[in-house]
Amino acid sequence: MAGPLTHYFRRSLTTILVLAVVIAGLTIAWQVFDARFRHVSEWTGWLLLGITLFLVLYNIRKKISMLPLGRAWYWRRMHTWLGWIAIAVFVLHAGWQPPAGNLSLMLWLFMVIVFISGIFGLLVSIALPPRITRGESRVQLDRIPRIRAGLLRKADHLIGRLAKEPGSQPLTDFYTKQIRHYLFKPREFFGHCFNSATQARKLMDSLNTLSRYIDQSADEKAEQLREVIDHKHRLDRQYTLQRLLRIWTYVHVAFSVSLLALAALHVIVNYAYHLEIGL
Amino acid sequence: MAGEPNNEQQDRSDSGAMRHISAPARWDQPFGDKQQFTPDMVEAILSHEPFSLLNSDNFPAGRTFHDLLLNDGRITQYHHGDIITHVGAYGSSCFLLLSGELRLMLSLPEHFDVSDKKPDKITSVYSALRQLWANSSIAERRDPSRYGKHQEVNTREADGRLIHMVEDLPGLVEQAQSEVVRAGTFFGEISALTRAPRAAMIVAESDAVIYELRWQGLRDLRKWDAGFRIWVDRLLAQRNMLPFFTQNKILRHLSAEQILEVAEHASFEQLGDTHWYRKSGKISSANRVNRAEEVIMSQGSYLDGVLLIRGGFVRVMERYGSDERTIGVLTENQMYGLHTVLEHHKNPDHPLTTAHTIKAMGYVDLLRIPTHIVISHILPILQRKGLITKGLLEQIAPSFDQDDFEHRDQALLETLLDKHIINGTATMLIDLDRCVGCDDCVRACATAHDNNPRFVRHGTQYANLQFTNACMQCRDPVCTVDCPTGAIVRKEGTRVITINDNACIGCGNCARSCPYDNIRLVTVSDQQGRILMNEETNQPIKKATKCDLCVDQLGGPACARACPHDALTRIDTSDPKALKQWLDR
Repeated sequence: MAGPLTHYFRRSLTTILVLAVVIAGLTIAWQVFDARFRHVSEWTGWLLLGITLFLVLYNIRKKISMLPLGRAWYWRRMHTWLGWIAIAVFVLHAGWQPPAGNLSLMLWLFMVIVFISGIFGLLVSIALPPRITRGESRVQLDRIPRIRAGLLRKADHLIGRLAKEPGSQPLTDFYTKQIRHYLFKPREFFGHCFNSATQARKLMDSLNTLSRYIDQSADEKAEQLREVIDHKHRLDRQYTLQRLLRIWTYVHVAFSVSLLALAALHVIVNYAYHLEIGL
Repeated sequence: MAGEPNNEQQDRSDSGAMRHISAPARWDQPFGDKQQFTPDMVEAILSHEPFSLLNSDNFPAGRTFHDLLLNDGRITQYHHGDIITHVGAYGSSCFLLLSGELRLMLSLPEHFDVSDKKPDKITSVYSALRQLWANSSIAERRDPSRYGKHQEVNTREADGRLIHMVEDLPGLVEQAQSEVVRAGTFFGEISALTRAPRAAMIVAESDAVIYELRWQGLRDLRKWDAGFRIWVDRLLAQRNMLPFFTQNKILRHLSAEQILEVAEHASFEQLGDTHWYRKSGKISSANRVNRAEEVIMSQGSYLDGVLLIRGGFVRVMERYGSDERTIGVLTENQMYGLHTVLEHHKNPDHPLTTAHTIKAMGYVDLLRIPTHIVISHILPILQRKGLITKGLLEQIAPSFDQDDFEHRDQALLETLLDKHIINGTATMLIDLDRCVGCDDCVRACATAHDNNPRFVRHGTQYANLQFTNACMQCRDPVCTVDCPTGAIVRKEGTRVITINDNACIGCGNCARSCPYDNIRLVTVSDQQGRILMNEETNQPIKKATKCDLCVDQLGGPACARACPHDALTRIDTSDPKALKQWLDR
């Protein structure tokens, strides 16, 4: 082994092993019971509903932070583990194929969206925080618009101080047509998501090209504009990554709540149907 | 004349580039009104110990003890019921009662206010849960009826200072234990010299005249006059040394006689600057604190005594490259030099020299026990009682082994020390590699404080660590030093610094003193959302607010419990083991 495993990775490895054993156990149990009993899908359905209810409790725990109900960290870990188990139980219950029937299909789709958004959230919450702070101080999300507006003001001020002379005209034009547009609001959401935002680089390259057409005082301003663009680029990156860390929760929580309502409806419809056909 | 600008300077000042003024001097602004010191008054002061012991021959030319007494002292006329010291408040002066009688309150009845009417602790689940719907949508809501007239403590102004008064002193005396303090008594020296909070409330029983000497004057009188110093130190030893020694895990094994004997030879020293926080500016914006720290011992010098830290922080350094690097820090109740004395005792060839350079970080007060007294009085007892164990020594007197150092993060250590973050006993530390910015911590804090968050998720960063702008509950709570009303105090028996909202007058001294920007002044509103205004000045009433470590909540700090990513902790930053454990989690 290259080096000692950190406590964090040891813990993660243990969790994965335990989860694998539990899921394998559930699958074996399902195989055995499915062969012997008729109503095994009913049991997996109730199990899935129970787990889903417990998963929703995590959000309630966050709302009642004033009660000493254990650290939210433990709740989140439990939420994650049970989430993985819920996926396994869901597959055992509904199979891999989308079911027939509108309600069942909708329930299946919602479940898949909740699972995917949950896995996405888990991955981004591990991967993105270190990326945000890589090499620079973290800025609070709600402060970013104010700082961005400050940068725009600073850039406006820089250009406003340029004399209206032929030697500064190219810079003024370029600023009005392109740089100001870039500074005005966050840009390149997806570019920053995948670490491939290029607009700032292009603007700075254009400024370099422009320097041959402008006089010295405008060139000094261009240098300061480069700093503003670079700052804006880093701010956009922080903004995008921090937004990404929040957006998934809106999807996850909204679909989870809807899912509960659909699951309740699913139970009622199924039992009503079974009663009707006399099973 | 030295202070007068020459022609060239005058020209430049005329041009508006600079302006010359005489350099500010120490006594430009004396502590009190010097006109109060009539010859009779000075004579009265000098007729009582320890001032009667002062000898003018001991003072350097140009700095007589009269100058010190008059510039660093003030006379205050107190009336029946006036409070001279508040229990738990930090004071930086000592007092001599010239006439009248005072009442030393050895205890206070439980209901006695200045204290907050709010219960200390939410005791039921229902009252905790009730915050869900009972919290206000009005920012910083207060009940104005709690201010002013219903207090058992009122205020009056004298010489531009606010003096608190107990309205019913006889009633208070009936309900509590107290002692009478008579004219000629010198008191308050413990707080003035050790930066410890006042141990008791003292109230004027009758009209009383008190001479108050601020810390700087006391320091200089002790420095120049041996007779004065010995008297004050003996008093300090009698009143304070015994309890201090009994708190120390090693020295508590000495008998009372042995302690007094050791105390007789030990010297009490105050080094550095008690007002370090004023010089260094706000830590959050300053790059480094003043590195011109006072050297206590130099590496390689003769070890003349074992140091016992009573307050503040001591930086331990060793030569490295062309300079010195910090390898550790010592704080209250820890010792330095015991290892060397032990080694020398075991092997007389082992040199009695210091292995490190020791510096006062900001401010430190310590006891220096001479090496020969350690060898003759302390070591035999430690050996007899089997106390020389590695575990105990590492706790009390860390050895700073080189091997141990190799595992430390030097840059982190320097950051903690340079920015004085080491002062925090409950520093909010956020691991930014885990923090997703969900703000659950801020919401939980707001829920616990009537919808008003008591910290900002922002602060000094080192690598992936953020030392967040939340009150760190400092070991040396400099915010409390200049509070005129004793509203900001350390909660008895805890490390938590709390603000008594009823007693806070919104002067902002605490917020200005806090080197970490962790105290905020807020405008307060009544239950209907109307901003409370001062009827005299027509200015909004302000109150100081800060993190109180959820002292009144079930389950401790809500922020740490609410973090779903284990990214936030409240930690004693002077405890390297706890810090390492959390970083390696």
